[in-house]
Amino acid sequence: MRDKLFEIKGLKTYFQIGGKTAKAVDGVDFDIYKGEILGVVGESGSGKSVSLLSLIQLIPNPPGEVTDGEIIFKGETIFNGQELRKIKAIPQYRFFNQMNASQRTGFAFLFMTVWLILHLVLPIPGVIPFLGSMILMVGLVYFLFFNSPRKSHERSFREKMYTRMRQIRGSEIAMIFQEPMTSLNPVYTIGMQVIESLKPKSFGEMTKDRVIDLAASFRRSTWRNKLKVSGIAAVLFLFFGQLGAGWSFLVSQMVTQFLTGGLLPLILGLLVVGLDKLISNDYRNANQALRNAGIKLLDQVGISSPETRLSDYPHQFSGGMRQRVMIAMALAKKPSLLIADEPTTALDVTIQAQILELMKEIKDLREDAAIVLITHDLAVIAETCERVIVMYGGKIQEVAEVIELFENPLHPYTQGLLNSIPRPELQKKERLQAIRGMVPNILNLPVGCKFCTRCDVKLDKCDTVEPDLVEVEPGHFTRCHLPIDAMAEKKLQGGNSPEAVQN
Amino acid sequence: MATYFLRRLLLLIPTFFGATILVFIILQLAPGGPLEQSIRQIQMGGMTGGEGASAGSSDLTSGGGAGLPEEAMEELKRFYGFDKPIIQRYLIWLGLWPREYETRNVEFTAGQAETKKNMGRGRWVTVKRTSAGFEIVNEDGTPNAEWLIRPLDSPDESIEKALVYKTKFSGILTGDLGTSYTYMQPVLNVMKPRFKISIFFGLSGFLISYMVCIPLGIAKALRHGSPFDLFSSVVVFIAYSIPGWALGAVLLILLGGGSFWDVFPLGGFRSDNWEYLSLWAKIIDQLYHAVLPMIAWTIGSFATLTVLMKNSIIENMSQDYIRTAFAKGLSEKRVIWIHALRNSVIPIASYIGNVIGVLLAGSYMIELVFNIDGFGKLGYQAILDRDYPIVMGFLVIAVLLRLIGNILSDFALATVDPRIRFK
Amino acid sequence: MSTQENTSQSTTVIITADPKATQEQISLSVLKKRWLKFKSIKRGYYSFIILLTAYILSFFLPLLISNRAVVVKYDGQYYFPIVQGYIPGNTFGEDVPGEANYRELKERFKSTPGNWVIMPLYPYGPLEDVTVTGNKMYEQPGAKHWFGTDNTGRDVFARLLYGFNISLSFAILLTIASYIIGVSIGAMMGYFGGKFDLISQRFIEIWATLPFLFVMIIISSIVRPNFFLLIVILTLFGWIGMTYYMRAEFYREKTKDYVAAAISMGQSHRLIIFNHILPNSLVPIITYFPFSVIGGISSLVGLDFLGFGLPPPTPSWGQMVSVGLQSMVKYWMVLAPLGAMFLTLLLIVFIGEAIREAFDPRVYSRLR
Ligand SMILES: Nc1ncnc2c1ncn2[C@@H]1O[C@H](COP(=O)(O)OP(=O)(O)OP(=O)(O)O)[C@@H](O)[C@H]1O
Ligand code: SF4
Ligand SMILES: [Mg+2]
Repeated sequence: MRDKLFEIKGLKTYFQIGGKTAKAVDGVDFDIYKGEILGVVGESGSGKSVSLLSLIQLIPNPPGEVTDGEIIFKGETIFNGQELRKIKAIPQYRFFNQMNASQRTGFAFLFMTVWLILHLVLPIPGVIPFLGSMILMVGLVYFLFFNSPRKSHERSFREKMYTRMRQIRGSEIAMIFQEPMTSLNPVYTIGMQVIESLKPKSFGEMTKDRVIDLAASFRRSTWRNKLKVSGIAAVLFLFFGQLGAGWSFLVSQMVTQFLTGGLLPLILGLLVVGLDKLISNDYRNANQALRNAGIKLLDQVGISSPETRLSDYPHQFSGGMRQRVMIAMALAKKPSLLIADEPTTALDVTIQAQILELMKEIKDLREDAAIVLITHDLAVIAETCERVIVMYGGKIQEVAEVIELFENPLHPYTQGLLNSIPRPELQKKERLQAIRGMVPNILNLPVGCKFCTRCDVKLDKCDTVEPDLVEVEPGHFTRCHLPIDAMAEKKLQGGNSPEAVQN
Repeated sequence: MATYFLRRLLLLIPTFFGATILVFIILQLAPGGPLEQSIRQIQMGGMTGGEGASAGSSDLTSGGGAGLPEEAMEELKRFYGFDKPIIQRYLIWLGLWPREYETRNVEFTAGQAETKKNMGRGRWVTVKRTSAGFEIVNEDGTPNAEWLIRPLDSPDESIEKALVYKTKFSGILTGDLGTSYTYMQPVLNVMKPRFKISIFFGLSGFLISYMVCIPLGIAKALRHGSPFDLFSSVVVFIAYSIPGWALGAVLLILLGGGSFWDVFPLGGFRSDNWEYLSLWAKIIDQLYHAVLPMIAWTIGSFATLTVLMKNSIIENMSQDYIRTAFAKGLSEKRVIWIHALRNSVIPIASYIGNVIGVLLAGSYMIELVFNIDGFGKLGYQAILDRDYPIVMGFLVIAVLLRLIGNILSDFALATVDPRIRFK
Repeated sequence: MSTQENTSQSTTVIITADPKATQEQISLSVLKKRWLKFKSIKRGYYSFIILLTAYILSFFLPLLISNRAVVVKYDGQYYFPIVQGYIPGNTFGEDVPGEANYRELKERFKSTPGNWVIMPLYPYGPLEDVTVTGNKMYEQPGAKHWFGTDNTGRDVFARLLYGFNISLSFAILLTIASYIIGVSIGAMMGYFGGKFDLISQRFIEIWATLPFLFVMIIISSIVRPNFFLLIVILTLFGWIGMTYYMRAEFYREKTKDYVAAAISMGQSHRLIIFNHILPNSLVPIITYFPFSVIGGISSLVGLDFLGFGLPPPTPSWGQMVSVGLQSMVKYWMVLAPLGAMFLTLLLIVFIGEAIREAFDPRVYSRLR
């Protein structure tokens, strides 16, 4: 067995939706090995994205929170749920813990009103003591009602965890998302965003870049163009100048206004060029190196004429191109894990194939880098992955090597998934046996086996008792109450080989 | 992009003419105009109060100033331009029809063929009555081209009247907003000092509110649901529940030294002796006078802007590109200030142009409360006094400001949002 | 893209609506859900209850706060001045011209057994001035006149409460009237689009530049504006704000499938607008309503302050402020009415904010 890159133990991620708790991921254990391609399948809403997002702590908080579990990266514990639970045991507020949030504010306001009324009753001499009393009041209100010892603990815990996570994000784990259309910032150029993932530039550096760009475009523009701009500015200046001067129509004044307007763009241009001269060559070289690296990245993901496209904006790119940009950004720092969350779902079929091909090529570039590929598409899994995790209802239902899973699916859910793949060689009536029923609402999943509402071979205890994830064969885990023989019997007659699925 | 701006400009032209024509017509047709007002004044002066005070405006419009000599009526009408049809008056105001000025009356008794008239600066002309009409001749006998003449209606058959006058094209299109009836000065001259005051308040109010609201909005968004957010929300709601002028009034009562504390001056833009203060004292005095009005000023946009900013940040912080930015391993600060903020100022950017208009005209209530001679108060006073040139000038400036505001908004939008730039 | 829209949107209302909210089809069950959500937002819900109660109570003000007695027993006979209205003073053997002074009557009847007077909770009316014996000008706030008296000796507290009813009724009626016009014009602009839209936009732009105050002043110099006339005039200028939202809303809704289906079934435009699109565009109307009411109250108070509002002696907040501001020592004349306005507006803001939140499908989410 290869070395473990990641170990995830008992990961739980809950969302608070309108006062209810959605257990999107509820106790997930899996490992990611160096250099493997791991597939994660499951229906929509089964918690695939959330479990991988939890891995790099990209869960929006609020409403979500990784509440429990352990995340270990190359032997280093990054997130420890036990610590968090200990912190949660500390009372939230220093005083009046039985009040809810609105009562708390209400009482705070009551306190302040009483304080203010006291001012009217007991005259305070002068404004300064009054202000002092106001400050005292605010301080008291804060101390009495809003001082929270738990909060500071929680904050420092999160601060530590997120700080470490941010070091890992990008450099060790990169992620590509489901929605290429919205995953790029619409107001920045592709170049800025790609280069940012190589090295985030400070505000000052961004300004310098802007100056360099402007100076270059000023030098590049033709005299005709410059004259045109000057002319427009001159006319505008003349118009508004005359407007301001009450249409004096004095020749000397008009000439001055016209000339000021005409010269202003030129002066500004020269100013920019002058500023441009001030920027050191070191910076220029470093900048150029970064730019070249960016160009190389874009080239690598198959974007044509990357030099010019660097200065384009996302809305000028198609969905497939944007996904390529996303991949380029993900690869920028050669991470040891690439998480691709349905990278092709939003794209059309030919582009899907190209993107998958691209990912495989990239995989070949670096031997020990791992890829996690989240998808609904079993064909994609069969084609690209080595190991597969099947998720349902926020839990892992089955884990196996890809060939093992396709040839010997044990969990009824996996079998259902495999059966629902259209396969030409089967008779018509046997085709597309989709799993009956609907995915249950995340807010009220069944207590027992999560699949019990749709399972055809359900046992009595399935409704109430949750089965454990057990290793039935080496490397093959499944979570079902059925005895293994019974499970294996339910296999499809046609036989499932990954090759059959791929076609 | 350029065509877009051009379209914007062109669309403003019908607005400009539509608005000015509409207002012009209302002004001219409305009862109780400057004519009636001055008639009433003259009457009141003549009759020393008495029944003149009880004379309603309706009776004035119909009666056309009973008791006033016909001649004086004509004079007044001519002064206010009411002797011409309304279309002509509008064209004169625009500057597309010649305006009569330096008018002089001449009278011919029956049989009189010519009369001499002093044209000022020691020059005399002779006005002759011929069968073809009138003729103006210089002292040396050459025909005069400088002056024009037209006959006037005369109530008395035996006396013939005429008006000698000069013409020029002078109106809004030539930059002449006319002469104020109440101040007897060119409108622009009346407006200029008040403009300065309004710009002082408007600009600093604008800066203060943006400097307070944007960081506050961001802080509130990032701490959504925290005590800080709840408290500041209540402050924002409170601010939204008090119109600026009302807060001004309350502050004046509380801190202006009437019944409670005496901290700030009662109003005005500066102390009366401002001219004689040292520079430092000038600044202090100015600020001292500005504090309360400024608070009243800022409160108006405070709530709107803060909530706008907060919602905008919240909206953007849940966008996918923010997740991408975090996935790159960027620090939270960077994600907020570089990625979220730029997107969140888009709605604020389009709000900027709006501020410009409010900057000047929207504050007359505050100026009234604090007794500041600003632009808004000037407009209000002009409306009360029926000082039509100022009202029309006010309108023109309002439309122009709107244009500038729109352009500014578009420009700000295009600066922050490339999607608009490339349209 | 139109800046015009953007800017006007942000000025009129404190919160911009989320377009996603409006995409939801409004049906009864959705409205019910929103109502439940609204109820769960305590601050807004309680504000609503308080305001509603206060408003309903304010219609019964003459029973609670009046200079007319509730019951008078005089010479074995019962009188109900509150219901009966004007009763001359000499009916009760009082030596006053005009109406009876029930407060004095009460004092006098103390010594005459058998005769008695029951006064309302607060025995001063909003309109009785110095001509009534016992009233003084500019009396300080105290036990007798809770918020003092004004320049004509009228009781400020009584006027304040009557002013509440008038201001709120005014603003609500004004908002409804403006919305009816604004929604129908905006809807037509969005629905028909094209030239009609362009021309209407120009017209609206021109209309919006009209100096509103000026028209007010002119009209008030011709006729003394009363309550309803004032609503009509303000509606003339107030309908514009809603057209922007409705226009955008209808523009969006028009392209949806259900409208195309309705058109293909040969339904009339009127039917499509009112039966299909309008119910789906209700969200901005509901969410902006409270904020428009706030605008209505503020403009009424402002106009009264300038002296172009409701005719005297209507109890009005703005008129009190303008009297109070003339001299800085009559603080109660400023603080009391502005305080009342502030409280009213604050309640409405809380309601409006809660409504907005109830209709807002967004969840706050934050990554780190
Ligand atoms: N930001 C969020 N707020 C509230 N609930 C969320 C959020 N993100 C995910 N969830 C909940 O978590 C559950 C799992 O979502 P997840 O995105 O992991 O599904 P998925 O398996 O990736 O599905 P898909 O194939 O559609 O992407 C969903 O039911 C969803 O309701
Ligand atoms: S545990 Fe029961 S319900 Fe769940 S998959 Fe197995 S048999 Fe079906
Ligand atoms: Mg997903």
